[in-house]
Amino acid sequence: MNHSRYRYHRMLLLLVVSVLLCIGAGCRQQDQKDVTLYSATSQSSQTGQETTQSNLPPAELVFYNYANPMPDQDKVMDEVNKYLKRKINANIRIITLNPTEFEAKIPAILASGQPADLVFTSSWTNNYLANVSRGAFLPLDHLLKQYGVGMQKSIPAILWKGMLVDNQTYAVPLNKEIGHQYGVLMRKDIVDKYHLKIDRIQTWEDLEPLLQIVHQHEPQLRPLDTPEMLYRSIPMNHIAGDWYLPGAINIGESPAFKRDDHQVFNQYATPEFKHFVETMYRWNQAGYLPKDPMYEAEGDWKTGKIFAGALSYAPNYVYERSSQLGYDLDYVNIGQGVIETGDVQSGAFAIPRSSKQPERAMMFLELLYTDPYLANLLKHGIEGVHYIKVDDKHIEPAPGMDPLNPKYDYGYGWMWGNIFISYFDKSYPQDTYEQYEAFNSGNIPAPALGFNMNIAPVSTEVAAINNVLAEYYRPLINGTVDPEKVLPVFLQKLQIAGVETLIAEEQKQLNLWKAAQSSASSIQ
Amino acid sequence: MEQTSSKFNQLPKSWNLVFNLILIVLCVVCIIPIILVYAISFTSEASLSAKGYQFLPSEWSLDAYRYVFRNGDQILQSAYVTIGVTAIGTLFSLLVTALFSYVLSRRDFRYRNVMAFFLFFTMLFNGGLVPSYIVNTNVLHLADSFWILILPYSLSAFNVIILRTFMQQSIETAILEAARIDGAGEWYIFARIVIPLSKPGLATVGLFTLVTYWNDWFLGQLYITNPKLVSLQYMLMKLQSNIDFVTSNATSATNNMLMAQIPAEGARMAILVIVLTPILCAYPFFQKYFVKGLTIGGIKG
Amino acid sequence: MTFLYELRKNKVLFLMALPALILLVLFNYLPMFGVILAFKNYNFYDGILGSPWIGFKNFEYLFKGDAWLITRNTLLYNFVFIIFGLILAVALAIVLDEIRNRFLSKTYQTILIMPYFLSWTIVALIFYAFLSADKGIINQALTFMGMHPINFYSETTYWPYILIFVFFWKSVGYSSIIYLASITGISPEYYEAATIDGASKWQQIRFITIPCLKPIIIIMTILSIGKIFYADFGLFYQVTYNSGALYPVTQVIDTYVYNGLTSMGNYGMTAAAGLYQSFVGFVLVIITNWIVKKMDKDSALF
Repeated sequence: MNHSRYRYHRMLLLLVVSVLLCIGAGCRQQDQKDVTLYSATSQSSQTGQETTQSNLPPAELVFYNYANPMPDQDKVMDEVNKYLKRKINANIRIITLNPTEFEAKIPAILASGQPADLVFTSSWTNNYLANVSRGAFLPLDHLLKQYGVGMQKSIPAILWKGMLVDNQTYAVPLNKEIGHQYGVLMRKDIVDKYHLKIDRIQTWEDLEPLLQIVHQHEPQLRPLDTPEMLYRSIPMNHIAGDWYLPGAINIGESPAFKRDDHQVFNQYATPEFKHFVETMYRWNQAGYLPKDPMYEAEGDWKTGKIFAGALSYAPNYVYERSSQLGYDLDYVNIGQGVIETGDVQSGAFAIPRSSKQPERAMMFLELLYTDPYLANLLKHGIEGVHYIKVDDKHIEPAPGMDPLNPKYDYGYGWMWGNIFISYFDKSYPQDTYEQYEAFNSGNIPAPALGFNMNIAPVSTEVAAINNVLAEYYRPLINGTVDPEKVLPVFLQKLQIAGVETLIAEEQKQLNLWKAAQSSASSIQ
Repeated sequence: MEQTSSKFNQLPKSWNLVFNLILIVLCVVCIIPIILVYAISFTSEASLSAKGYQFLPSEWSLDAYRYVFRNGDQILQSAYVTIGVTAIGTLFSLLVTALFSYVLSRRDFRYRNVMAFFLFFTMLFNGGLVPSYIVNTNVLHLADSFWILILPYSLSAFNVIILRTFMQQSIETAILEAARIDGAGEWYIFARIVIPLSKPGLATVGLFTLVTYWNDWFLGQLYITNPKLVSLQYMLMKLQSNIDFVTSNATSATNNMLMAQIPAEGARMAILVIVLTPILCAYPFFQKYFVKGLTIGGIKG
Repeated sequence: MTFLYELRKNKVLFLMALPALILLVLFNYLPMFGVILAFKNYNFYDGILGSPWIGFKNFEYLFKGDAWLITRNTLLYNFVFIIFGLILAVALAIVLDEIRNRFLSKTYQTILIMPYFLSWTIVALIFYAFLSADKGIINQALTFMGMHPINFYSETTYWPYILIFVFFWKSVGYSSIIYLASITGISPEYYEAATIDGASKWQQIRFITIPCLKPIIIIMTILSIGKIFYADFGLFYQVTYNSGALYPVTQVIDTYVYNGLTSMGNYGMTAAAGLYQSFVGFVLVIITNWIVKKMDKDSALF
């Protein structure tokens, strides 16, 4: 009996040792490879300056982008590569992944160091900050200086500022609408029928009389779809780089919260938040809002059962939405549009640490952002095959292409870098660019734009707080629970989860950042 | 009259009736949602958003299926992959599982408990997704290969333990002893005595394995980028995800028109119907091993 | 040198086990080095082995806030699932086996396993069609009968029953297959002998069928005890639509970890949760197995 137990231990030990050896060997190999890669990178980028397009050695690039695959992708890729061969002597393999695939594959690819030269990153998928803090991406500043001059010029400075982490740039931001502006879409026929004065609407509270009229006279209509976007229209600067985490400071000249402008505060513990959730509870009781906490509005929109809906707006959307739903809509802004760090990081391209060709990847990005031919090719496919030009700004599907079922078309193509150098579908108005520019300049930069919170020191608290938010945020915002009873519990649970530790950490990091900013500007 | 339900072993008539009634109620509860799924897949999107779910569609439509079968070539290719993976995977897995289970079921084998523990340990502890990915891609170089769809699921500790228990229960040591005295080798005993005697167990484990391979999209999603190796489930999952994406991110005029056309709800259900129907057709094949009276061979006693 | 002796004596048995052992090492034991992630502040630059150790910091969040409630929910649901799951599956298997008409028995079987093949997303949709406050079938019926509608997704009272019902509805048919196959394997001689001795059907079930199922029942129970700290994510997250108001009765360890970590994507904390769940299960299995071994050596897992 004893004897066999001894044997058993020895066998187990043997196995463990051999397994560990295997892993050790595998990983050491991995580490060495990384180290050599890394030094090769820095060397070649130093010498890179002398290389010209003609004597560049051939290169293979792999690019993972967040985009739905198109049926004619191979055909377009052949054209892209023909062009790239001429321009930068490179062959690129673009792997387009839809959301679920992207979220499943990319973390594993980045963590394991599988070959990848370019990858999409953002504040909402494949998180930029988390990846930078894990060391997933290469710093790009010197590469940008050498190969990205055109991009540096054409992309607004405010976007570059938002990408900075510890004064280093780790990704090239998408050049599209900047910031967020909330607003309300309303059925035009109803607005006209009851002569609703929508131009007087400025904040979420101004909606109430309208909802009341609609509810009273059109009982079959749902007055408002869901109120979360109304809450988000209250301007504040979220410090943790996340919509939900507690910790915010005021924005602009007429701040929404009665607070000291430099003090980070818990937005959920303010009288303003209390007022909002109390109003929503009242609205819900009055029948303006859906009773189900996870109500899905799309079906009711399609059948015209909704009067108004709050949303995060993008230029032109009201026309698109009207044509899609088949009835006319009115739109008004609510609250002030804001640009926060998270908005700026709404999309960008990074070069993973495993890239063997970082300078060539950068050259490709430079082309993608500055070369209209390449940009249009990737967004709309091949001219004459997939699209034809209508005028110098607009295109339409080529004859024989089914517009409902295109073989290749990414619409306005935000996922391919720069929307300002490519054609739009003929349904877009002539002043599309101007509308974007007006939208961008109408949004005011948040005071902490460019500040990036490092969540790592408080990750225990954040995990617990995320759970408290998951439990209380939506029911309170949707008005499905009585704030009289629930709000105090919510705040108390936030306390237990460590909200004070989080806010103190936010304040500390913000102060450090501010000090660094002012010292940097005084040097200049 | 069915074959061998011997008279002396039958349930009294009244109880037979009660059992039947209970089962009918249970079956109704189980089948209603399935009927609903089939019905929705044949309902037009317009009547779905106007009237909600209906058991008898007020407006029939094949749009959902037309939409799903739009890229017929890819579906065909994916069906080959899935059938190949399921067939080869199930056979390979059954072989490895049966061999190992037999070894573990041998009471005279000194290391059976050590090995059983070694096996069981993997049921609870695992390295997690990223370490597995690193091993499979950087050490075993299995990314984008046919075998990555088979090997990770080919040995399930759960299945081995179940089959071992079946074997311990239905194969008496005396039979094995007798065979050995007759001069039979281990391989002969395994193939001629153990396998035939564990048919119900093999069928159970085989069914579980088959379902695992048939339903899997996870491995594909993680390791496959080559369209030639995209399995049916993975393809349908991608399609579903594309629909969700277009429905929730309509920001261009073309996308918007597209979105109005996609039969979102119906397609979701049609996808399920495509996945479910073959499994339901395969089930009776296994079922014959779960019904008493048809499988007990002459070897016993 | 017992090992070498055994190896020579049972050459063929070792050979038979070899393919399985190789698969276990490659696909289970090699990646297992990943458990050290639970004790590390992982970054890609230093790799898994090189990243700094941080002790038990990654585990702290598992014991913060509502940890006790969540653990209690997980355990209670799993107790119900294990005990009633066992009774229902065995009972169903016996009933299906006893049905006189083979054709009917097969039809019942096929229908009863159907819900197993529905994904949780679809199950959630189907139950939403019944339970929705605005247009659910149940509430329409209640309003029709002049009763107050129930806001199911905001009322905790009903959810323990709903979740237990959904779980069994989806899984009982499938899990009864194991017992059904097991009953098939029982030698008919036992029943013949019992009938000759004048045993009634009930006595046969009690004294032959159930004792013969004992080994598989014990094994299945030990295996589910190992998973007692794990909860079915789809059931608790999707079927409830992750409705916050229901958390007091629906939040379990897996949903807690998911809610806490998705926005951060912290590998170390994810690994810590898995290790914690596995470790508790492991300890419980070792204890259970030890007890079983004391009582009946052959039924033990190892």
